[in-house]
Amino acid sequence: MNRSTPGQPAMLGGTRTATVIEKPAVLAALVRRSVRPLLVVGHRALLFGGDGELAVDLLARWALRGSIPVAATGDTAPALRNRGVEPARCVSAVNLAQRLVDPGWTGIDGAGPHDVVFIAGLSYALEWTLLSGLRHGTAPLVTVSLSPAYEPHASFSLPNLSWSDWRSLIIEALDLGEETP
Amino acid sequence: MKGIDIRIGEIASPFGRVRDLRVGIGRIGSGTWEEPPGPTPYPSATSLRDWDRRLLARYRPFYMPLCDLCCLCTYGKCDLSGGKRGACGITLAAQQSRIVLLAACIGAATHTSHARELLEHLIGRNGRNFPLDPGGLQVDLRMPHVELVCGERPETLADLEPVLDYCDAQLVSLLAATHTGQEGDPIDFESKVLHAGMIDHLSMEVADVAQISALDFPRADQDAALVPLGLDVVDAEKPVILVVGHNVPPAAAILDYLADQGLEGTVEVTGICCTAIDMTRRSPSAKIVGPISWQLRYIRSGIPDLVVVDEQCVRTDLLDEAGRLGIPVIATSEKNCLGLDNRTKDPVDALVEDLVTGRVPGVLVLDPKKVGEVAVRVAVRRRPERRVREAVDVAALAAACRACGACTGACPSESDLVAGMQAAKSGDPSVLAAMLRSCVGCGRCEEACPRGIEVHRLMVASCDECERFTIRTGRGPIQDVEIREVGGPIVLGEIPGVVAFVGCANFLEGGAEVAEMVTEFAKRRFVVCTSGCSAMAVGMHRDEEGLTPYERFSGRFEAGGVVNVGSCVANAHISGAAIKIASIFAKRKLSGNYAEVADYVYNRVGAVGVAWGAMSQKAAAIAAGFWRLGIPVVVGPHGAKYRRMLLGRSDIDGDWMVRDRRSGEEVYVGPVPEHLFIAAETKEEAMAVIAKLAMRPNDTSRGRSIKLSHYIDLYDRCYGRMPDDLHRFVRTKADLPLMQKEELFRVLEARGWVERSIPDPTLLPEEAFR
Repeated sequence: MNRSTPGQPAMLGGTRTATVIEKPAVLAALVRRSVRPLLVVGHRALLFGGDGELAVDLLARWALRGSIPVAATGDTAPALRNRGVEPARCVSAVNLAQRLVDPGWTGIDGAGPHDVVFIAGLSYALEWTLLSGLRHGTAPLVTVSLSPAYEPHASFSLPNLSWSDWRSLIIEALDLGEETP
Repeated sequence: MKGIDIRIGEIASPFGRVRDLRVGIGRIGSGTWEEPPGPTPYPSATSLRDWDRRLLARYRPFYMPLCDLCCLCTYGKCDLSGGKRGACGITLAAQQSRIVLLAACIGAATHTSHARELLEHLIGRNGRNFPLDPGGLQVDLRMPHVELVCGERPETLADLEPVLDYCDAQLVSLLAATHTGQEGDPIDFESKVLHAGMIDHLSMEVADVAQISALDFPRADQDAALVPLGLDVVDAEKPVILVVGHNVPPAAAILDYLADQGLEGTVEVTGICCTAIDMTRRSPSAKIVGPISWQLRYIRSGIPDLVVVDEQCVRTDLLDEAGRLGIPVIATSEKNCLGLDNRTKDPVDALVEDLVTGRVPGVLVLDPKKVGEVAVRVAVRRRPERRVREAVDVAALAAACRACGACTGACPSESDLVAGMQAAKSGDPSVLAAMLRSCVGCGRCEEACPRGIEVHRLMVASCDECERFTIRTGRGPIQDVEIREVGGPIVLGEIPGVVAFVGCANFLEGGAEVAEMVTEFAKRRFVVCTSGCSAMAVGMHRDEEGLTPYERFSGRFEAGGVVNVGSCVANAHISGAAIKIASIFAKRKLSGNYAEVADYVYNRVGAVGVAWGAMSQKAAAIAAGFWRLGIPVVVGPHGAKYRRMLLGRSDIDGDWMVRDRRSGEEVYVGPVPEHLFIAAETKEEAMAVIAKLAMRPNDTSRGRSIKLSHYIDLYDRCYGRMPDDLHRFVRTKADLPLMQKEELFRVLEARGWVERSIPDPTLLPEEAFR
């Protein structure tokens, strides 16, 4: 599949589609420039992986290293906690999205609105619709899909990637270094 | 012209003497129902607009467009993204709500048309004056929706015609509102969505009460028969008929023909989707193969000797699929003609001959009785010629796979079919077999495969699990006496809630999740209801003792009961039960009194709908009917594709004020229920949400403490900690579950909790009660 074909090819995007994050440096720059980032981790981060390692392992390491507040959706919270990350909020994904589009919302931890939202681990269709809701909201928000399938409704999205390619990109971009799972 | 009612005690004329003559125009029934009419009999699209706006002010639509464009007129396509308006001036939010209204209209029109077709058939079969009797002596309040919405108490089949006339007129009006240059305000569109939902429940009630009465279905029967369910319950040695769809007259005619000819037990009558449930309500000898997702796998097995289709949710390529194995098809509905010649007036012998010899792939026959005879005779004659497909060499066929990923990208269940195919290639079919559990049977994997591999067929061939289950067939309405017994505990909160698992089978991770949720809530002593394809999915799983939920739990509408009301149209009995609580337990007047009763249900009846695999426009309309009554609905992850949620903001205290009828003051009651329509990501999240949404402002402290204990427990199971929002649901210290009182109180103190009163809550102004 083409790297920037929607992860489900029939789920075409709108009049604007996400910029593909082809290089780790692009993701690294997005992280660096974010002022009030939020990481949303869904339950599929517990299912995507290989060789004894899961996506949630890497995402938790990043959240810890970057002190990024985490919203745990689905039933992801215990797995994050086991990896040393206490979610700022356990919340349903659509409920969170509704708040994110509200310019008056004070953020997941009450410390102010978020400017960049990184999303990973939702089922493809749920993330697709959710990102559509976010991009039509009134709040100025940059959305970054960290899922391994291209999400056209994000501002920026990873392309379609295998586990090993996804892992390599995430480790390099987020400066996680190699760590034995 | 409605409401004209002329009574003549006695009149002498040149033609004779007439006594007790009554002529009604636009009125229903004998008029023995003396309840005075309420404020909104036969409401128009705006009669209940104020009530809708009260709900929608709390539960603001959150739109997630599937498309940024509008392409409904020739001005377009119009790009509505980034705040742009279309050529007609419409915004993206209005366009989304307009599409939601279209979906709700399609769903409600489908049920209304279904009801009309059914009613006309039953009037022809049983007569206009055939009495309505959905529950025998156990049900006095026979049609709560009709009484509530229309202010009428129907007594005969013919009395239902004006109700459907009203539904028709409302749906035409609602559909007209979606024309270019009509409504442009999203909230007005949303109000009309709720109106379409109310109409939907009305027409569903008409359909099910009519068929229960005329076809002798179980009448509010707590002990409705346990019937076989699953592919392996079919005795393939016999001639086999498959019926697919929702409208039961052709299937009932097949069963009747077998009985009339003394052939019962010699032919297998099997069904898929709601017609299957309704067949077993007519005769427990019929067998349910499974929900809509079983169509491909069953037809492709080659076992059915004949397929009969009626309407709704039938695969549109069914004729092609059946044709590949030479299986003839009889189409029976004006709404689903399959391109076949209309042979309704042809002699039975000619139809049988043409179908048996394969001279035609199928026929359209719009006479259920004729279908009954033709179907049986064709199946019997075709049985010896049946071409059951030979076993598949999975590894050999999978060898053609080049792992391009097209199948995975097409799979709505997001199964990693490439991994399954690669394993199958190397001789391990177990990965593919496991994926069948979450397969929705759409066949998109095969459509996508550039090498033409029959991926779905390989999945089916890889799986050797025995499908032999049990389901309690649809019982119909809830008895009045059951309502008297549970109405109080539900309203006080001592029964923690009523949870209804309804709708289609578009499950992201398989139907086992629904069975698990049903079992969880039944064990927790909620009243659990099921219907339609969800009811079948529930029956397709056994516990560690080998029991399906229907064998494990009672069929009573009671704490811990699992109540299968029936097919899709029987959903009206679930919402109807909430209305009955307002009427029978609380003595609220029903007649044309929608807003007051909905306000009662919303503030007091802890009911929650769950459409975990909702797929169709009908499901959208059904959900909308629940919303207007103030009953929240939870959908699975695919439900987000309905493109709009109705979400509350628990963090905005001002949204959760009610009027206390005792003091007249506005008081804060907390976010109960927090949402009207929400998609959950996993079953664990859904269960925590369901427990939360069962809370109502009117809960007594004892009731709230019971509900809170379930919420805290299910939240902890999902998230591994105390609910973030606990303080919003505790009014007084007495609300806290006894066993955790001190621990929880410390949590509340840390969050600055302040005790508050428990009001007599309403969203309505006082004049609404006069």
